Amino acid sequence: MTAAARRGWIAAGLFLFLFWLVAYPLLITMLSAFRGENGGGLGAPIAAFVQRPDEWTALFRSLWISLASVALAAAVGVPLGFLFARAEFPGRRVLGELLALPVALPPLVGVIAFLYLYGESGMATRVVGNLLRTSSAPWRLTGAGAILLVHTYSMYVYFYLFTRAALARFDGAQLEAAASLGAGRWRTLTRVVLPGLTPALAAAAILTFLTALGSFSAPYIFGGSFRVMTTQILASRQNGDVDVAQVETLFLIVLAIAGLLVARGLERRSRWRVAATQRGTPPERRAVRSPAARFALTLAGWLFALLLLLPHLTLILISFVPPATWTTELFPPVLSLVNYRALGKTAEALRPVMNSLWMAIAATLGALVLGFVAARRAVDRRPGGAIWARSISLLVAIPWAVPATAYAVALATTMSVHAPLAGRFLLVGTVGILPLAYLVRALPATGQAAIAALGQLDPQLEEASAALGAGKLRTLRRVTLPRLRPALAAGASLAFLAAFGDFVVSIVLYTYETRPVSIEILSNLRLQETGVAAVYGVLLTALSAAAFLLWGREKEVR
Amino acid sequence: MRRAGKKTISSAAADLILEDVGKRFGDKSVLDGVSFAVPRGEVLALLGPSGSGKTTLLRIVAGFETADRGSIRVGAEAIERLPPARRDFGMVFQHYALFPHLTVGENVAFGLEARSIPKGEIAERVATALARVDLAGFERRRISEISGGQQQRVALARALAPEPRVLLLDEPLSNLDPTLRERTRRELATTLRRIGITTLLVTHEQEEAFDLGDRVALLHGGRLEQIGLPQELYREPATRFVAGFIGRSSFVPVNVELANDSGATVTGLALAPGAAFSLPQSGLLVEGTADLWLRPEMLELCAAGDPARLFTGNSVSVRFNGAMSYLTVQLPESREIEVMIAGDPPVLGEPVELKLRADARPRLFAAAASATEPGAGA
Repeated sequence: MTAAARRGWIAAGLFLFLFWLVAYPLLITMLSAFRGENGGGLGAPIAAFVQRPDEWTALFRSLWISLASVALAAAVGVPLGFLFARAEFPGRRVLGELLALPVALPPLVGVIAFLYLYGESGMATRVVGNLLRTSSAPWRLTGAGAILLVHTYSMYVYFYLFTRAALARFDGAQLEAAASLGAGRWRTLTRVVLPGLTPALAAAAILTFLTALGSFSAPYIFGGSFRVMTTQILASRQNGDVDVAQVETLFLIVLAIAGLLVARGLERRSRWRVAATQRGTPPERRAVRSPAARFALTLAGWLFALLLLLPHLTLILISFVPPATWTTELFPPVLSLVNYRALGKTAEALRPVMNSLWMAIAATLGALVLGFVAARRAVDRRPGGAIWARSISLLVAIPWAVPATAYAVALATTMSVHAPLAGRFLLVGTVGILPLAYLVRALPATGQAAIAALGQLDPQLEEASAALGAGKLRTLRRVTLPRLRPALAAGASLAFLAAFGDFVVSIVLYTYETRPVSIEILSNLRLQETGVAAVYGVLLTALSAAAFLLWGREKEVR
Repeated sequence: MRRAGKKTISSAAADLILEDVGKRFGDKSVLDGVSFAVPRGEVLALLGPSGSGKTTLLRIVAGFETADRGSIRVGAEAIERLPPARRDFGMVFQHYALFPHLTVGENVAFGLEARSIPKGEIAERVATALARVDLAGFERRRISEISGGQQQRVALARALAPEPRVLLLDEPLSNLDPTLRERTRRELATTLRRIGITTLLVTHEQEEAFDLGDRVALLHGGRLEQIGLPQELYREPATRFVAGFIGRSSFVPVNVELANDSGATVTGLALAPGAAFSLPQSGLLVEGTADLWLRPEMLELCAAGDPARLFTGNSVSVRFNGAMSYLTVQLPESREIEVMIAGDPPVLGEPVELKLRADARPRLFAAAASATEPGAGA
């Protein structure tokens, strides 16, 4: 067998495996959504779906909530990006880092922190109510407004980071060229800067749209009767309407892919795609000179940072409040370590943390290996390998575009049947299903990072290693992996964060033995054990932040 | 092959023999039956324009590409099926391909570690290798901390440290700025001669090939045009391409009046009216039109009416080049010819007459299909 043929077979095998893991469950789900396996016959579930107005309402709500989230996140994130990329003022560095914080907060933890802060008996609600001297809460944290608030809080970070990064790459000579041609500030902004930012803004918009569309925690906790597609799917499943849930999943996937295609199409039609490859030195930061403006800016910055940190701080405070000690007082009268001690008392109490840890680590390691192997094939341009490269990189990206709820339902559908010849195994209800689901969800993070890094790796480095007599393993260990380390570490930390804090996939697929932290938080909330839930939330956040700080920001050695 | 202990370096070198190496990329033939031998210790410069296949040939020898046909041997061992890691060659890449995450010392030690050489010996050999390229004590430096010229020398030290059988150099100087290139080239030449390692060097610069190569192989369109000493390629080009690619040349169309085994008589066309001369070149010529190849130093100015004059024309431009100048003379039918002159150039625009120098050895080549001369005046 020639080298090209061998490469072809290996790539084909990998393609099949990835297809089974990533695309096959979606396919099975779509097929059974059409078939109506649980009675009704061909097309019946779809017909039922189409005829129910509440389904259309949920679909429409998912769409407008997602679009509104994009608009709100952009409205907050883009100006912040400009401010922190262009202006120089005291505290810019620290604040600039703090602003990225919400992205590292597990969604469910963010939601319960908001609940503790702005909920009916939340801290802020009590304080404001007390100031206004009203006996009832001054606002109600429910419905679309609450969802949008949480979405804006956690998703402006995409716009903020992307705008900042794009501005940091922006060629300052372009601004000078515009000025020398007589363009004023406004013209330069609208004709030069914003067009240059289009690719970054489009990417942030796609990311926000998909995240908002797949968002589950906020609608689940705050939505109440305001159902969006993700919560609708779970409700249908819990009511036993498995077929309807599959149709809903199908529609959610279609909506996600339509959004992705529309955004890609808009981006492609724009004339400004070249901007991504711009090189040059960014313009100097403009120091804010007027002392009053400096003071105002700094104060506003720190106030904003406090606003961002308030949910975290509240969460920590609540974790010290013993059960049933805080009723009508403005601030908790008793603070103690009792909630934390309770966690250490029984092995059972620590179990969710251990579960989440081992499942997230296993999923991350799996996604790391699979992502790297897939990336190697995805960048292979040699004869034999090249024909598989595109489809493999597409498969790696798919779980990113498909909402997590949809994925969970697809896995639940596909892996609840034992039919090895059809590639279906009875995994639902076993220990293996959650790590597997986490792995698939984590694959885009590790795979895309590896693909990008391998694409930038100088192929001559590996050749130089071979020319020096190093075999394949030594080249991998001494040259390739060290070069890819920062990218792989960043990808792995994202993968770990997502798996460790996961709530969406878990709520569909967990078993009692493998219940993760997020599920434990939810059940404690239901039992009114707010302190214990907060302790779990603090643990989840602390470990996530540790992972993020440890691996997420490794710098490349040049 | 592992070489134990301390032997003199040249003992590691081996003959490199290529026979009928061919390679196609799709429909395009990149290499078409290239054969040559590099005796042990010799530096062979593979010279050619871009697209001539020289880099592909080097990559085939290194093992990064596979030839469609032909054999490559080191001494008596056929290596064309060996993976690059087992060929025991050293290679210096065009952009050096130094490992940026390793220090200078770790880079140089890399090939030694791959050959499982004991730790203590590695440090010693790294120091020796670095000293050889004038970088003693640079072990702990980062690659990003050293200059481009130093990086080039680290790349050389890294390739040489394991004492490979053959050294491959891929345009090793092209990444340096011109002032540094000249100096580095001299250093490289000295190092190569001192070590006496079998070397295959790829370059598109004639000066580099002539300076570094014991012999030069000129590649064009995937074929070996000529292989030989630099002066052989310069003085006795085997093909019209070699004649045009190497050095400065002029081609003028002439009539071959009489051709036989002992030579030819040339008249007419671009020659001055009535001018004729005999060439001792034998073989391959038929009577009819041909191109006469002349180097600027084969001609000299002569007085008007000199019976030996070959060309008459107008001087159109002059290029001052230090000890001598190159004068461009326009012949009838807007053909141009270049002549080297030692003294002051004549007034431009005036008619001049040219004759062959006594020691000139011009050659005839079959008339070119097109008017463009490959690499003329480059």
